[in-house]
Amino acid sequence: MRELFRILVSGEGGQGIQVLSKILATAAHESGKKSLYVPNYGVEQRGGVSLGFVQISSEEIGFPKFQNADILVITAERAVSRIREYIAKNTLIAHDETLVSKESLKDIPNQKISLPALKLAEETMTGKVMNMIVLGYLAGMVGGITEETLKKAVNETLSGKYKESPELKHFNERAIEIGMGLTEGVLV
Amino acid sequence: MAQVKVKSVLMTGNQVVVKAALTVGAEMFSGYPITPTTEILSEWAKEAEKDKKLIFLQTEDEPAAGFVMVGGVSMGKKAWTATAGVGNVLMQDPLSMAEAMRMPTVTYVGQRGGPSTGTVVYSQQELNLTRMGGNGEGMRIVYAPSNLQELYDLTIKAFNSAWKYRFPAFILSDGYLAKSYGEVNLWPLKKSDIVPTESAFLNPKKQPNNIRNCFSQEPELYNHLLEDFADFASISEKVAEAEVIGDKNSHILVCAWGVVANSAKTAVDELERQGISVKLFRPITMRPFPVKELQKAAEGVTDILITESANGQFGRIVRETLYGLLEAEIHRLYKPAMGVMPEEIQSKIREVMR
Repeated sequence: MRELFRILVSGEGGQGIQVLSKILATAAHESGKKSLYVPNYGVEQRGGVSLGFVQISSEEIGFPKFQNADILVITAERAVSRIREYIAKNTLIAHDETLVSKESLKDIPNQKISLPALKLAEETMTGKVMNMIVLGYLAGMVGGITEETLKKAVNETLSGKYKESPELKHFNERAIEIGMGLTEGVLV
Repeated sequence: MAQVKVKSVLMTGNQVVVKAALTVGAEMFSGYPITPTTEILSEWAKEAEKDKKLIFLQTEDEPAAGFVMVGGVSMGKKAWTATAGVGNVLMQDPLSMAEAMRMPTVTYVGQRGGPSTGTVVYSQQELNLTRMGGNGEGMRIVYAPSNLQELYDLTIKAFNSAWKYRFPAFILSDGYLAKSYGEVNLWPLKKSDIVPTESAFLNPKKQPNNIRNCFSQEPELYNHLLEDFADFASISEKVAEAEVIGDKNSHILVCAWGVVANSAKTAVDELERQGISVKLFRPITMRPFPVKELQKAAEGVTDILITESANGQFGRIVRETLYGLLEAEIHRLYKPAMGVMPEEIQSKIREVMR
């Protein structure tokens, strides 16, 4: 059976949407899966809505983008209008309620899951690692990606930042654990 | 056959192109930054920092970058450039010169939306410009990769074909491919896999050449052009490449190229799983165009669906190639400057079948 996850991560510039998308693709590849990631980008260099398209499959992946997301993460209210076209009947929507109000999603009938990434990040460490919680959550949802593989991919990608702030390595790893913990017991 | 060591890595499209260029022995890059190909320039700059034998020049604009490339090539350097959109428009002056003087330049194009500045992201609207641009007759070799692996393979091929046949070569890609990040197998090359270079002006074995892009009499230029046309015609069958996938006996033919062909492939595979048979024709070279391959693929077909991220630039080539040969109905899924998703192609095929 072909396994295919089409994941759309949406938020705003500065939240680390593209970093987490790229690491997710890397960790999936390291876990023996096929993966392909493409960012959505416009003329603006900073700010604006940020979308990351990640596909993870047991087989070769074709086109870099997709029409229907299987999992859609929303971490900014202003991303909502941009992601509507990627929602299909079975799209699972994971949103951070502190960043995206229920109100703004109320006309979308899909199954929704609360992903309190910012709250958890702020309570336990710093809001900066919010994206790592989302990353852990998504890796957990995809399955077949171990915590160890994911941490390795994170540390390899972000090693440059560890020189300035050595505590970040610990924070990232902890955030991954929290994120992966959110999917325990959840079957899709 | 000896075991070849293949390195499988994760990379972005732009990184893949630079890797391929280095593998096939590129020595010199001149360019002017433009999204989505700027990383080609910055990656090459980094490589040139490490390897002092590599030449790098960021010029004041695209025409200058192109003329620097022509200059490098004329002296036997494996020189190349990368551009996109309006940069590709500006680059046509030096590229016409390369055509006139049969200079094996290599140009990587990352198509973005047009006309004018358009979008920085994606389109297939630079097909006419890349195949036939300039004030010449399109004596060019144009490869169209559909995925990251082909970006590697066809960049290598473009350099080799350019130097083997002495026509300007192009890798016609787009922003989606350029910015995609995924797995690529980096094949190492043997020395014999790489076509060597020589200086057009200072060939030690021959008399110094006088290569011209300026003629005083009409018949002079005319006769010169006839020679080039004959040369181009003689290499066309060797260079032209296409891929036909799916059910060869299907009465429905989908025609797509580049990354859209990749999308169409996914659609055809998916329909096959559902018991619907379709075939897909996908040119690998956009020029010379694989005329015979398309004509063969279209035999016995009742419906043809042409899909592209432009408003019929590719469609016109398909229809011209098949003109008068069949009575198939032509259907169009044209989405200028927009991606064409596999789901859309699937539902269009279902619509055609109804």
